[in-house]
Amino acid sequence: MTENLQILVSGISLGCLLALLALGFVVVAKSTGVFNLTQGAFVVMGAYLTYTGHRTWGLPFFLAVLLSVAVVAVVAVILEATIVHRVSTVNLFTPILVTFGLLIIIPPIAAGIWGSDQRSMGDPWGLSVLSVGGVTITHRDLAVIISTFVILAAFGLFFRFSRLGLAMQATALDPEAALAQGVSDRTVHRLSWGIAGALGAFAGTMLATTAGTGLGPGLEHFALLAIPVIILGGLESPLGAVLGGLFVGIVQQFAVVRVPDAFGSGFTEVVPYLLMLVIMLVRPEGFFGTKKIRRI
Amino acid sequence: MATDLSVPAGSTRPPAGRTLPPLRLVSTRLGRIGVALFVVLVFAIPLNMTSTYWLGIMNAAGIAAIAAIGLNVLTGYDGQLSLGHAFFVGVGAFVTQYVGGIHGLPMIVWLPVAGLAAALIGAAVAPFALRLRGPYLMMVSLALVFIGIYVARNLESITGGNEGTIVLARATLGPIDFEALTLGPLVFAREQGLFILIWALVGLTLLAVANVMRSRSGRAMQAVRDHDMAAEVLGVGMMRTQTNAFVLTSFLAGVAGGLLAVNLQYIRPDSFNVELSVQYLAIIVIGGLGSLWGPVLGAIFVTLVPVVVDLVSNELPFMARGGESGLNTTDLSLILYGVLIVVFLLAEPKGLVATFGRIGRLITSSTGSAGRRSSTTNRPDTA
Repeated sequence: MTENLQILVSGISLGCLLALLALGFVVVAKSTGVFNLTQGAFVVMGAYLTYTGHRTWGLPFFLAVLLSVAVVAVVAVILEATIVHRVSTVNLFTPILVTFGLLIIIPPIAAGIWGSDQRSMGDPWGLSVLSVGGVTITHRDLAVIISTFVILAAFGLFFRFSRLGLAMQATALDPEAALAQGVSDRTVHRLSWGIAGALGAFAGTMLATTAGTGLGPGLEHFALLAIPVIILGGLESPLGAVLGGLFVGIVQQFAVVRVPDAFGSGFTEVVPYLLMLVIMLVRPEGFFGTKKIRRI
Repeated sequence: MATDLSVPAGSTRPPAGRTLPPLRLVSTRLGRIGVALFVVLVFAIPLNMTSTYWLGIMNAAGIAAIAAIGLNVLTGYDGQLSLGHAFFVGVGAFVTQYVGGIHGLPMIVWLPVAGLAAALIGAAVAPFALRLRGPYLMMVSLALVFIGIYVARNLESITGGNEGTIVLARATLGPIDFEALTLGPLVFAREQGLFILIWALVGLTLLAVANVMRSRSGRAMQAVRDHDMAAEVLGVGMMRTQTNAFVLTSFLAGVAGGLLAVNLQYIRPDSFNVELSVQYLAIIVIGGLGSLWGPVLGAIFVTLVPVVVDLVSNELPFMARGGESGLNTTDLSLILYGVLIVVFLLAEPKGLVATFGRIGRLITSSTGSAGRRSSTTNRPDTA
């Protein structure tokens, strides 16, 4: 029983991480309609910048995180303003391909700057743990879980009550009507990319402090794990992203421990993708996505 | 895929035959001259090129071209984005090793079987993958690549597991062995024989795809791409059309995979990864989406990227050298793919095909009687 609870807790922590990764995709998709693959590159950039700030320049960890979040957000805004905005309304798949092009540029550049060795982020939280009735939670897991829920709450409030948040929703719903109401689509697009960049940088940092992952080449492949989560949660629902992330995280964590070796090596790595295929079968619009009803 | 060529050939509905252009393999005189020229080049280039290094590169480009022509059917003509192409290429490659290598069957068996196996899997996956439009096919196809690598790693008897396997399948057609071609007293290098085989198949693939795209099902694909709902109102079955495109795409990927396996003689599961899919996507975007020759031009161009990077990498200041940090050649190639994709989509969305077309028009208009004026009047519709 305790063991299962323990697995559940690590699953929730992993799930929150996946949710953070997925939220970045959701923000951009929700307000600009672009499926932004560059998100994976933001994750890589964020992780390496935090590393530089914390380990090379010796800044306190949280300052380094703030700095990297800010820098990546600015880079994201610049990319949107200079490149992606020009094609964002052309058709469905030109923007996907453009963001895809940007995605494959950035990780090799990072490898060129920081080298292809595994780097260690150090131990920002140390090995301290919190014990609740036999279940131990590391402070890192706790930080991931708490920050995910804080971010989700902030999102909910922002989209629901702030002027800009409402403007973003309006732009997503009907770009022309929003324009007619005086909402600047440029501002909305840039803002959403900035938010996505910040989220990506934060998620990347958290990913890089995970025991098994670390900081090294291939980090962008972990960002791709957000894709099954998005399918589960629906592309345009922040709450769906979080619940989808939790679901995938918990199932994967149980698979790591409980699946027998007979399934062969690397089975746990494909669990999210298998889950995704099953969901595509049963409920293609995801748990929280809305079925698209189109008019001619 | 041969059935797709013949089904709408007018014989079933004679009255419609008048509105459709006559379906022949090659419809114009220029086209026939082109085919003749292609056939001549397929034999002339390897016979006159002695560098096996460059022939090897051309062979790799030809195989990439077949795979890219396949992906172009789905992405360029049918408007669906796929990152799973490497999976189907991988299926073709390992089926080739199984049928041609382990069971030792000749090429006339393993090549079609490689294509058909990939096409079958494509047909099985299509109904799930095509349920939604937009970016969803891309995501599902990404899952295919990861699941494919997992399955291949665990099928050690065929794939050799993580270490991969040597490919024993031979490129033989009856008495002709393309890997050790002899003609009377002439003995050809392996690359020369394979060049003839690979580029002949590129030609056949082009001919087949060009004709499928002129047939009803090909036009249906383009109609679905341009406006799915309008197409459906006109009586085009969406699901069926897209499944057709998906199956044809997978078939060509399988064939390309078979050739890839024989050309490389060594394959491992990890090589059929997302990066390979990326490469095929880069090829069709750079070459020109939805154009016949785009994938071929793109394949030659993209295959040359790492070659050129290798050639110039010693001159570049920011490359990694002897323990120093810096870019390695694989990374630089990846960066170039990315930059090229972005630049082409922003500046030349119709790809190299459009660039070549423009250059061609400039030449004809400056040498022709129309002179300078026609080149300026041409500009608006080409931009």
